[in-house]
Amino acid sequence: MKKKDLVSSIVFLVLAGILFIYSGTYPQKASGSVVLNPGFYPQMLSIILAMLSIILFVSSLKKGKDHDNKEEEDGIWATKKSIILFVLTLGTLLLFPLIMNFLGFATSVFVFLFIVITALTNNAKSKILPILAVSIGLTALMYFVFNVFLRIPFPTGILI
Amino acid sequence: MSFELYLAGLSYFSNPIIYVASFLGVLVGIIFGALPGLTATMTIAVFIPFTFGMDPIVSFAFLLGLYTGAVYGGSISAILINIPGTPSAIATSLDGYPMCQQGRAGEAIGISTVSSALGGFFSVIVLCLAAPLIANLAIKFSAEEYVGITLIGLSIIAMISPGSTVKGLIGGVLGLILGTVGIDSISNYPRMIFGQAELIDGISVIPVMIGVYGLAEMLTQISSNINKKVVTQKLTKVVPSFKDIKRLMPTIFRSSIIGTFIGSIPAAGGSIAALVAYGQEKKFSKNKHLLGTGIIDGIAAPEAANNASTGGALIPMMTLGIPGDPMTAVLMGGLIIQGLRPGPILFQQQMPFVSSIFISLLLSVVFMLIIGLGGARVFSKLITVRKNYLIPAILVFCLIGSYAINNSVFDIWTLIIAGLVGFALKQVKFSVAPIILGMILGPLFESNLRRSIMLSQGDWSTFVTRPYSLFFLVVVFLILAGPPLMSLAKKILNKIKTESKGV
Repeated sequence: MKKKDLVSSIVFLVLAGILFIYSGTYPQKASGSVVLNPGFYPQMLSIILAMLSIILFVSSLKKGKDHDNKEEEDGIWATKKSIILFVLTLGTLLLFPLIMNFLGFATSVFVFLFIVITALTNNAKSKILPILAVSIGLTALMYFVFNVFLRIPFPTGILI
Repeated sequence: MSFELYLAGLSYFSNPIIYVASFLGVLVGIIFGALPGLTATMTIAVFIPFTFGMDPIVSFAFLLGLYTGAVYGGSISAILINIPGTPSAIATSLDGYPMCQQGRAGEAIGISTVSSALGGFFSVIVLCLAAPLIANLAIKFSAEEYVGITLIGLSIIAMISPGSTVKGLIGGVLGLILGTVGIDSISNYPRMIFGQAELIDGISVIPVMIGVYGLAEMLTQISSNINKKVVTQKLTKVVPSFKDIKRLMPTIFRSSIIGTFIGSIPAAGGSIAALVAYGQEKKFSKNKHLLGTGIIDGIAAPEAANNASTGGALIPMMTLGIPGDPMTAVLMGGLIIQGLRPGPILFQQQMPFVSSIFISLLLSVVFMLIIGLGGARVFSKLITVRKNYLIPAILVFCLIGSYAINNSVFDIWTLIIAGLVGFALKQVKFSVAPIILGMILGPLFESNLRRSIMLSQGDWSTFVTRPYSLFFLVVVFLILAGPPLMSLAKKILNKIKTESKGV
């Protein structure tokens, strides 16, 4: 726990610093109250964020001393396979907006579903038919609900 | 506020679409709530894009149905497989799962359904009575008071979020910072838009909510083990006997009061209400020694309380614009994209709409009772839906939903970024609820803060010289400084005791 808190407090402190400097570049009015300046409020927030990060930093240092190694760091990933699954899913997610304009809405939904379901299914080769059926069924459902029923204009691309 | 105003919304209910919307909302809500891993908050977030094009009244009949249904639905999986479908059903599994192991799952679900409905019904009544009164009081508030109320909301959500209060506060400030993106309403200067035209009106809140509650949750499930087998049992005796209900009435009534009250505290939600109600049952019930072994009292108490919290949580959201829990925060996002900002002004100008919300909530409680008792057997089978199909389906839903709000691919990118950030924050044990609340309340908070100081000509003391404003700031202080001060006082007292013993 303490390591994660230390790292995140430093990240937030840096973030606060960047925000403070960046908001300082906003135009300032020569006359009138500072409150009127667009940078006033973001700078105020960045100071508060910096103070809170320092509190978190100090308290995580303290906690570390109190507990020493009692609290074990929990791993993010259950198995090595789940890292692969995670990256694969993320990649497909990022692919979706890119291919939607090109392949069209329905095709992209189908491609997305097919890839991710196959990735998440154990022993997918033997279950290829149910996977195909579910992907097609869900695609049809999404197409009907969003495109036909809610009439949302989706990009059509070269396919549908 | 007279009774006639409540009837103002009644005329909308001659439209059969509203009943269909409410029925579907409850049905979908129960299914999503019952599926482990799909929380009530997430359910509402992913369905808001659906309702965007609808009439606000129909859309809220649907969303409130989802809300009621999902909070109740969580109990089904809590009872059947000992996994609460939503956080507010945590306490239900304490007696629900033992009952299931004894082969009495049907009975447990029946009691849960009736208690939830009674709790929900009670809270709607309280909502109807209390909300106009509070709105009347709040209409006198000006910018300074809203600054105080917003701070109360943020500090409570920071305090009760899992993880430390400091982390919660950091989340709240991050949310406020995200809220500054876009045109500054006072100087008309575009802030942090980095040349993106889509950011001029600010970051869209709905894709962010879908990202942190939907996408991030699915990514978390993928990163942990997803191939667990789920087995459920056949249900019998779902409709409870009148004798049982009569015996449980005091419990249900007590828990409904607790639920409504805790729900109405800004940012405290259904899960706390349910746990407190269960705790009270341990103190006051006649069967307290049997709690935890699988008795119906242990189901009635948390279930009445968590559904009673739904009406309670709507009180501060509707009257002050401060959501009572993450679910109402998301609901408020849904109101705002419809161009309706909750608060006392809504009560003055849109009373027919406000009363339609009350009536819709009542309607959803009725549908919940009917669907819950009638469909329990079906829902118990749905829990066994495999994760390898469920997760991709939800992911695709998140993607399309985010796009559908503004027909914008930019919102899909917002969704993915929010999902990744939400996933990362989960890993370092940060809760996302304060961020969402900060983002929703941010723009209003900023303009109120700056307007107050402008009106007082740069004098910050304006926040402590106005009585209501001072009162709110004292409350904020007590919320944040109270617990550490208390523990400090205890330490000192203990020290004095041990020293006096030593002498």
